[in-house]
Amino acid sequence: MKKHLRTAILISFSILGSAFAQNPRIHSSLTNLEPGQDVDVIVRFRDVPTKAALSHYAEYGRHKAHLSVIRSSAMTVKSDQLAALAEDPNVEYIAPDSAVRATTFAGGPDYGWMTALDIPNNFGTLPYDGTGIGVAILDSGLRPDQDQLQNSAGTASRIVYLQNFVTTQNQKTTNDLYGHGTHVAGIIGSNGSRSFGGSYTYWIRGIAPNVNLISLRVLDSSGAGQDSWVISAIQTAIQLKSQYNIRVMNLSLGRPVMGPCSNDPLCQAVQQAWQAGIVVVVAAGNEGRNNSAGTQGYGTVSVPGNSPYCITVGALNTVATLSRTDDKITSYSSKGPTLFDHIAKPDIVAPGNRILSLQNPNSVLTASYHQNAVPVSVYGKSTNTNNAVYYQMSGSSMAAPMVSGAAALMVQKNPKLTPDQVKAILMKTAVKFTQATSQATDPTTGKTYTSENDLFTIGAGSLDVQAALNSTDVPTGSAQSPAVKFNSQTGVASLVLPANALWGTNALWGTSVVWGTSVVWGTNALWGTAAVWGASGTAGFNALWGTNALWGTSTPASEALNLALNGDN
Amino acid sequence: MKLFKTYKTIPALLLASTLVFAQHPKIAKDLERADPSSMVDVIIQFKHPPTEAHHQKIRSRGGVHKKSLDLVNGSLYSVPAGKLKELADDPDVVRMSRDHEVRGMLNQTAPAVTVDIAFQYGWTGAGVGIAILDSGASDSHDLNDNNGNNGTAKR
Repeated sequence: MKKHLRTAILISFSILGSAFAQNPRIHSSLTNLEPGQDVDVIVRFRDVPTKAALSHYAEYGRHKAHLSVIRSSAMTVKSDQLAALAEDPNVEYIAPDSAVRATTFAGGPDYGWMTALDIPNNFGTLPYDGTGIGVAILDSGLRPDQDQLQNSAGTASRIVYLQNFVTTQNQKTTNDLYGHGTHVAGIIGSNGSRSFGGSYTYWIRGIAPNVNLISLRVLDSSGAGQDSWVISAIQTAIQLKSQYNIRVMNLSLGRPVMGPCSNDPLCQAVQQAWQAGIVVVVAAGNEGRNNSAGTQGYGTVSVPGNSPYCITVGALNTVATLSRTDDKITSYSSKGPTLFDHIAKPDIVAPGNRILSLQNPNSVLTASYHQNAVPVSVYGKSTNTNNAVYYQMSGSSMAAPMVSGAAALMVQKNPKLTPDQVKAILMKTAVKFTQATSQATDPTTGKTYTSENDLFTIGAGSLDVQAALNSTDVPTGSAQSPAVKFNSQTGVASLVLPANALWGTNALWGTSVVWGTSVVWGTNALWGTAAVWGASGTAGFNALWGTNALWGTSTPASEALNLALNGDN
Repeated sequence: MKLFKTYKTIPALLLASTLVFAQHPKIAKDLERADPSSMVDVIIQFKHPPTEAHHQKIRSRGGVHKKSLDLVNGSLYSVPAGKLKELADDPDVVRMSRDHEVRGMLNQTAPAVTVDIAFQYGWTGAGVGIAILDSGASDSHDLNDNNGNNGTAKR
């Protein structure tokens, strides 16, 4: 039944714009359905109905959930009742509830932090925990009372500063209304006190469990923000740098590329932070499956991840094991080169698939996807009756904070490290991939995606925090991500190393050392598919390398609409 | 087939860019398409951080100064789109960009999400509390004030 519904929705999306008499109160995808068909809808009210008033709607269908944050209810309604329901004076709009996905928790322990830190046993630790280091999180905010973001004694919060930059009316809070910032913060610095001890089987904690957090709220209750909010927050982070020892900044956010980085205010702000001595870590994006411009997902890194002056992080799938040999890139992780500037991105990849971290129970994400709440049975012994307090999410949003936590540990060990040194060491010590390709399957659609383990997909490889901490390298020069030049006559792509780049300065920093075999410049393009790299004249080729970038003013439409993703299997 | 598609698209684009009036080098492409009568949120960058005199000049064209962004030598303004070219001719102005929307890079926040569909229709949840669907999940510390000020440093 549900499958039919989804098909119906997709078809009607595609015929959007053809002339049907439309009820302005019913979303177009809900017209022309078979009579008698059950439809999952979100009914938006003018005023939130009382419980008693809600019973009145029972005649139209089954009431499933209150979504009072959007003044709405989730209901299952017979298709022929939709028009009548829309006539109700208190009904403002009926939209499809198209979040068709698994309704039960999928997955288990992610082994993300353990993989990144190379900690072989569940309760192991490192000599570094981020003590004294400040990480600025530009996200959807934080509740100041998250107990797992307190010091180990539980006597004081490690959230040392909170500020809101969201200017929308009635959104002016520092709290996390969306639920994203809480999860990101946990990956960076949760101490995991709610899953540690004898009654637990898997410890869910962050990379730097004693780090200080500076929460700058730039995403609203729907996870959206504005360039100006983010720029303003970056400005504040730079101002607060010495007061809170802010050495790292995490940006698990982005938007389509609109033009060259040098013209983009958000890119410029990121570069300012980097040059002010803050390690800026940015999510690459989740458009790696996007083939709408014929690029097989290449050229989809978002702003500000397209800045050469940051560490851009793609999402790795640990396949829920500690072993690194089975790790693979997620199918959705955005790929370089960047549009317009042709910067080689991402710089590195880190665990980002089905990651377990902190939950804000009072958030839009929790309300929308309770199936992503992690049952205690996933990480506790069968006798454990404690409340579930963790949440599962996927995306490069989860990968970036792994690297932010790693950077905090590095500057704790060696406070003199510059952002360029942190980036160069992380990239050089990243674990290189040995397989040329990997495959991933979407759990909802069953569709399989093949990824090439090339430089534009996996960067310098997979985050290895312990190797980075063990490195005694003191590189000099700029670690700005290099541009890539494509010679259409020979079909060869090559790195364009800036004059002051530390890459290639000596054998220690040769490009093949940093990027491994994923960089085979000069012979032929090993990486990528022929559709993108070999044959000039294809749409994908022009989109990426043509002088008149087809995507120019707008990055291709997201395919995510049709995907209903829930991580890779 | 692919070849055909390419040839069809490229000349069309070239044609479009030559026929439509020349693009202003200081104005981002996506701003030039804005309806001239509409107000647009624009980040205007100058050679130096803008002063009151710069704000005044924009106000005199019906604009509003919304936020200083000195980090990038600019400010956020709301400006009638039809006045952008005139303002861009100011030699102090370096670049005008739209105040784009950014999003969290969470895989599941695809537009297929229920809540996103709701927000797409301008439902911001303004003035409405956050629903607690799973009423059993909240801990006692959930009952703090919404500003969450527990003595933590905050502006």
